[in-house]
Amino acid sequence: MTKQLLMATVAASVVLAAAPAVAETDWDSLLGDHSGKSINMMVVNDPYIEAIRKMESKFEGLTGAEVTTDGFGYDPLHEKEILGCSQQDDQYDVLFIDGIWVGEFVEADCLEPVEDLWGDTDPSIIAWDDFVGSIAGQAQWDGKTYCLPVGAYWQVMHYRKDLFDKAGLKVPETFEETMEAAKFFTDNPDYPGMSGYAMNNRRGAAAGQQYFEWIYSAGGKPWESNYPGSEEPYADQTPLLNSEKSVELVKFFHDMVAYGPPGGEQYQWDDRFNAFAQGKVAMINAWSVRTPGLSDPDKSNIVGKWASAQMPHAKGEKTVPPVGGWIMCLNKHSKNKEAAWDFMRWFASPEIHKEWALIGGVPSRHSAFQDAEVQQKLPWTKELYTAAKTAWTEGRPRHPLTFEMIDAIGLQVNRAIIGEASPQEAMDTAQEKVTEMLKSEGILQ
Amino acid sequence: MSASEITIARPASRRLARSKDRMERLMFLVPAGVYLVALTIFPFVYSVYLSLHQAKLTKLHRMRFIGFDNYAELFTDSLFLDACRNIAVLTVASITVEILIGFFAAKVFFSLRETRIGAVLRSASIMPMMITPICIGLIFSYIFNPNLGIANFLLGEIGISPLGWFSDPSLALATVILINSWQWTPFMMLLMLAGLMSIPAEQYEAAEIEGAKWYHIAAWIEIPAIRGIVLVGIILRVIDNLRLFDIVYVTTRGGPGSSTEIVTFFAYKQDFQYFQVGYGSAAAVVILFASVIITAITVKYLRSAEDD
Amino acid sequence: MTRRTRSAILPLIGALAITLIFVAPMLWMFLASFKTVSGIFSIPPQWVPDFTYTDNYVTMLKDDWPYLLNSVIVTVGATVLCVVLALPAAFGLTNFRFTGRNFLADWILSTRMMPPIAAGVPLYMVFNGFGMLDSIWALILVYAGFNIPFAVWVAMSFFRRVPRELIEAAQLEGCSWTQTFLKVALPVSKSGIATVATFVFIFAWNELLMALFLTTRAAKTFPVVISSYVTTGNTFWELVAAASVIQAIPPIVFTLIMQRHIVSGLTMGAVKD
Repeated sequence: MTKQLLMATVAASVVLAAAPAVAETDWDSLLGDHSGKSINMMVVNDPYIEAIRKMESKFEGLTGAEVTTDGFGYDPLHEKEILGCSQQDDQYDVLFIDGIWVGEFVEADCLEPVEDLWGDTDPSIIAWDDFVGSIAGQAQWDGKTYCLPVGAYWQVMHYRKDLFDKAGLKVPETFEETMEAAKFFTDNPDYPGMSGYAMNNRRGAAAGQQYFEWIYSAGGKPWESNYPGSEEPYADQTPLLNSEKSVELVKFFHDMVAYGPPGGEQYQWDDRFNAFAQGKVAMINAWSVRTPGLSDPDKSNIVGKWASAQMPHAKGEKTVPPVGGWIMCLNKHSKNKEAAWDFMRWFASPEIHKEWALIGGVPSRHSAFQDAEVQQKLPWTKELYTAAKTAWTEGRPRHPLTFEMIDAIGLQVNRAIIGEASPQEAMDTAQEKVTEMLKSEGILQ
Repeated sequence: MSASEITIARPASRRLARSKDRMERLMFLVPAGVYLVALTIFPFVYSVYLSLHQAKLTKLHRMRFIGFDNYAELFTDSLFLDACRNIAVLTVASITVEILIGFFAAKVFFSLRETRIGAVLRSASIMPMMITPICIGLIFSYIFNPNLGIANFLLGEIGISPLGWFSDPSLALATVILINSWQWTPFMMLLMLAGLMSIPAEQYEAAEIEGAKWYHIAAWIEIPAIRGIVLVGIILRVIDNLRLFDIVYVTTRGGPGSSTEIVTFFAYKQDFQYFQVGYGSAAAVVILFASVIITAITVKYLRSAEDD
Repeated sequence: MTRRTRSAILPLIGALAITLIFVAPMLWMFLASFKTVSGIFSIPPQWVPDFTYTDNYVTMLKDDWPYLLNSVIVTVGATVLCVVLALPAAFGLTNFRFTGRNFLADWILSTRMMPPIAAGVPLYMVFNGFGMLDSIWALILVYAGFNIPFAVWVAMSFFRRVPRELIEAAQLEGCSWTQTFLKVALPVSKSGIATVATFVFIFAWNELLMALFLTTRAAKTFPVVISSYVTTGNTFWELVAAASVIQAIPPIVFTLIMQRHIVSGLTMGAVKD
């Protein structure tokens, strides 16, 4: 069979398989013929990468372009992407970057702004307002839209519904209640081998992120003019890392170690998820990209035994759910911009986005969350949607220093967690380090 | 060129021949020499240059001269100082463990030197030192996995509660030391075995006749015999420990806290994670100077060992 | 029990214990490579896996065999280049009389002590400038260069053992230095050359740091791939295990073949075989 014939068959079968009720976009006429072109993508090695790979062949069928998705770990991805594009490397066409790196990538002149490209595209395909606001904001920098926010993550708390029911415990809402519940399950002879709450304590990005995941719900703010709903979050970047609320929060992290799993001081994203999925802890909060795994019998011992709730908040405060995730960007130095852009707008379109969300992608659009099929197949997205709508876009700063700064804060938070320094000492050091960094970069006067 | 050609050569062409000979000899040395200059002198000079600037790898065109500020900052950076302290502790502790266990192992294999089983077991036990360090790191992070690793399982079987091998800040560096010395004890063992083999059998016989105990033999005969060889081993291990990177990279990544931070990892992070190449280069230059000082000592000892 | 048998049995027990300590961890990873994902971390441990289960190897090699090939090419290329450059230099340093000879030899040795990270950024800049990032050639050049000092010193130690009379006889017969080197020194040093080459091979084979930042995609070496199985999202232990076993084969084979020369090799000739 010739290649064309094979592709035609694939394309035909794809069209046949699609649900007839949805208004079909005529992709064939919209997308160009890119036979012989290849589109290379850099993506983080998170669980949704498999779902992206499943979509490759579909686009190949439509356009003839060969799509390759290369997965990298978080740190190596950052290094390779920014170093490559800042040296005008064209090996990769499409870059999935963490929304918080956008400032750094713009500064390094890496990104072709998507708003310059979408002019002639049917607005119903881009459907910008359909992206949930808290992630859409992360694809913009300095008033310009650079990328398509297709890989949104938010966080909710997952808890063992069966155990909470059995114990007659109420799902915790405040920090105090969370600690009480965690304490209850830890070393409790009725729940052998269980601990309370697994947190993201590992030194570096893990602990640094965790700080930002909780600080707003603790009623604190990391920078002077940055708080949920702030008009100009970057107006005054004076750090408040050693404020009372901040130090209290870090002390809370430290105290929670006693109610966490053994070795929990070294836990990061996958560890907390695995501990929960294996039934070793009663509660975690986690990025939504992992949630489907909890219902997958291959990865989870607790299928059907868990439920989600909003993350806890300090007494008298409101939960501000963390938002993160990946925005899909076009490498400014790509030699294949046309084909790559065709892929991007196809992949990000509401129709394809929903399809992707159903096979293990991450819903990032209102239309996906509201879709009946999604709600029925992925019931946990209901709680997540609430979080998505209340999350704060600027929860973590997005300027060029972010990566380094979160790492530095993560070192100090971790030092407090393991008791190498007191929370006050650790956060004083963090305050000093970060102030120094911001000043030397000219972000702070 | 044949012998007759040379003997009948006239004076002028003899000079020519001599300069040709010189050319020829130069060609033996120049390629390797030039190569090494390019690979070592140039990077060194460039690193020093970078270390005097505030420079970010992703925007090098905006580099700014700041004199010795990077160095001043380095020596007030608690993380870097911890890194220096850790690498010193790690080096001393690893080498001590390697020597003690290595000596014991060398004695054991020495007494089995003429048996086939001894040779087989010795071959098997020296395998770790050549294995890719990153694999060694991964082998042990598998074994020391906090909940599901075999080490904590075996401890549980004998009634010891699980250890946080990599997560307990007071244990993490010890775990790295353990891994490092596990890999390199066989090297020390082989060195000492070579030393023991060089002891003439008569010395042992004489000692036995005089009724010497094992510790007499160790103190009077064996230790003096292997001292020189062990010294060489120590120096090489010091230098290798200063370059240690892979094991920490795949296991602890410097954590928890700063408990396993080491200088190479520190420089790597500055250079290729934060792209602060000015600051990272300053750290690299410091590491380099430390190595140069130790190198000077090494060269001296290697020379004297060679002259023996 | 007689004293004689006891004195043979105690060391034997000791030797078995030592061997167990040094072999068991590697063996444990080897066993893991034949286990399913759930078997790798099952408690109580699965002691003996089903050795017919080779999915881990198949999955790993199916995706990553090109990088294994990269590793082989880089390693062989670097070894050849390194030996070709180092042998003449070592021969010259042992046989030519000239001022500064010792200094040159010491300087070459001292470059062996340089921590590779110290050259990281400059080399990155240079290869970037030549458009050689993510290229196998860059790695070959770097690995060959970093191992020249080692190779020169070990080669010097065996060229020194070539009988002086042989060299002089060749010279008297009118051989040029090149001829002396090729026809006299090299043939009698075959086993030494093999030692040098094997060591350089293993050092290059094991290298991670330089490959981490000099490669992205096309030129990735196998150690880089192995390190990428450990991600913040997950550690793919089944792939780690299978890949580690394959990665360890050359070093183990080498250790078994070359063990007589390991000491002199690793001490750069300071300790004789």
